[in-house]
Amino acid sequence: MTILRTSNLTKLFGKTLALHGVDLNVEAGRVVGLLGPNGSGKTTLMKLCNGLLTPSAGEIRIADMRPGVATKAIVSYLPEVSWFNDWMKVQDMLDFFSDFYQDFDAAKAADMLKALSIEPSAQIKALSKGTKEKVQLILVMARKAKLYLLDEPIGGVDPAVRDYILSTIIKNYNPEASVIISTHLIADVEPVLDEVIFLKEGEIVLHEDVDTIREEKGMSVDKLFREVFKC
Amino acid sequence: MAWQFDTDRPIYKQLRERILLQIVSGTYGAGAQLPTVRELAEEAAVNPNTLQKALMELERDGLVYTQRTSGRFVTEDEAVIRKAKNDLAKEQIDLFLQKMAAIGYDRQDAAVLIQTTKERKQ
Amino acid sequence: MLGKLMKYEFKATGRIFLPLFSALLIVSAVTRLLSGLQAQAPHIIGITSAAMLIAAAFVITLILTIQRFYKNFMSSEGYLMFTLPVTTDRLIWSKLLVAAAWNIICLLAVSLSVSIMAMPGNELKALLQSIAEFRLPTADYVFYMIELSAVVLVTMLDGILSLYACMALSMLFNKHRVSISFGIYVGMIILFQILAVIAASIAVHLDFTFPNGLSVFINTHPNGTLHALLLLTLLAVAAVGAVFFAVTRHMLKNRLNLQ
Repeated sequence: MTILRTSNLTKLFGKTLALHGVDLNVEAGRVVGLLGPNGSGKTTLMKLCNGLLTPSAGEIRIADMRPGVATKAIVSYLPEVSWFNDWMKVQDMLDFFSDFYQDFDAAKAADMLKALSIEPSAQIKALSKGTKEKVQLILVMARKAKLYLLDEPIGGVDPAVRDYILSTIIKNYNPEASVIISTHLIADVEPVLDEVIFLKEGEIVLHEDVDTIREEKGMSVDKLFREVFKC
Repeated sequence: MAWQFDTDRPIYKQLRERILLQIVSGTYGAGAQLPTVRELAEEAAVNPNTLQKALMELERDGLVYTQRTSGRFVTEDEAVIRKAKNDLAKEQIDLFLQKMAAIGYDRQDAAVLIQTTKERKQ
Repeated sequence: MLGKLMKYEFKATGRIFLPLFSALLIVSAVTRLLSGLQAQAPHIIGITSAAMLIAAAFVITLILTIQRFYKNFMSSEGYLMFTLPVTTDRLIWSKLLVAAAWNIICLLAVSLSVSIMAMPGNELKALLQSIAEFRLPTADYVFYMIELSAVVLVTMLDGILSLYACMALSMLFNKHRVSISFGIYVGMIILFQILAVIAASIAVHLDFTFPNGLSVFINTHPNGTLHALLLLTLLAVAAVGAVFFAVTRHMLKNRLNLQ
């Protein structure tokens, strides 16, 4: 079952072409790495998938549906920014997610908070930046979504948290759902990925299975990335 | 702690070797039940699909079999395990002899050296 | 979903409004009690405090109406709100209805506060008694009250929607959005003024005579005419609101530009 399909997906911001002619197919049960330098269009692609942006041209289909209310119910998005307000406690956010998302597993979220020693009664605005990121990740991963879009989930965190995040992604694995992770830290993420997409200046230059790259090119994805995107 | 992998070879191949080693060395004895794909993937910190590929290769080689409702088991056929053990040992010996040849020692010299080298304190 | 959105909106805003309006009413009541004392000073302090709270009530209501929209829809909170499985329309309505509710409550609280402080004791009693003894007036009167209330209500909604539309339009720009929103708002007001003046000057010069049939109708059905006028006004005001709503929706749905 194809979770995500785009054809000729294009996004124009004023005069800037952020994405151009993107044709993509992601099957269910895959963990996909979306790799590319800053400004290559990774975030734009994710925002098009979750409905925050509308295409300038081309089509995008999530589980065969156009982005809208129905797709938002099955897409779980972790942006790079923190979307918390300043009046809620952690528990309030859990209630919020339970209220709006049918696929939210409150018990699972509570377990994950416990594992990271985060108090549900804590005021979110009093938490450290790192802890806020963890809470945001927990909320996103505690949903039984069909498509997870994680924008730079391991960028600003320490190695221990990085391991926890990758371990959560593996634990969460569901053959009916797919995960798209955009990142710079390729070496860390590579063992978790099924396939990778290289995005260069808004265009796809590579979309391949990780094993195939290692088999045919005899190098890791990380190494290949450095070659393809040499400065 | 995640397992460490070489970066220039497919991970599923390395996973297969790792699990094979555990089988032939007795960590998973004949007939023993293997942990689930999910558990192994978590422990190794790898993609479950990749681990599944590794296990399927082992199954193809007859070292592992799947019982639909109960999971994966190591084969009870000790002969198969012994053969795999020997094959693995021969591989290592070949590699060793290659390295000795690069240093300049042939098979004889290597054998003598093995006999006379004191066992390293464990 | 709309109910849920409104629930969270009330939670977010109630934390500020409830203490504010409660403080206002308490201070008014206390001031009223102080009015009987010989010493003038406490009473004057009370009135001054109440006056400041009344001003605060109006200002804070306006600021919060603006700030809730801006913060929740146009800042990083927007990443959460616009990925929720709800329509853009519902999101806008949730903000609009709650803002309208607080605006009405603000007016009620201020009126109540002033009544408590200013009305002589027996008048206050009489007012409360007449409210208690309220009988339904004639059907016609009821319709008038409903129509009038509707026009007033929709006009208030228009006011709030105009703020939303101006803020939403500022997303066309990447910087200085607050100033730009303000500029668009002022520009819009000026535009309306100009249109009103043009309309008035055209109307004055028009040789306007009602067609015969219509004149007769107006003369024989003064009530009916008034009702029709009120309904037409309602329609016009609603249309204006619909335009503001559509502009806001278009910007949030298709031109969302979160910073």
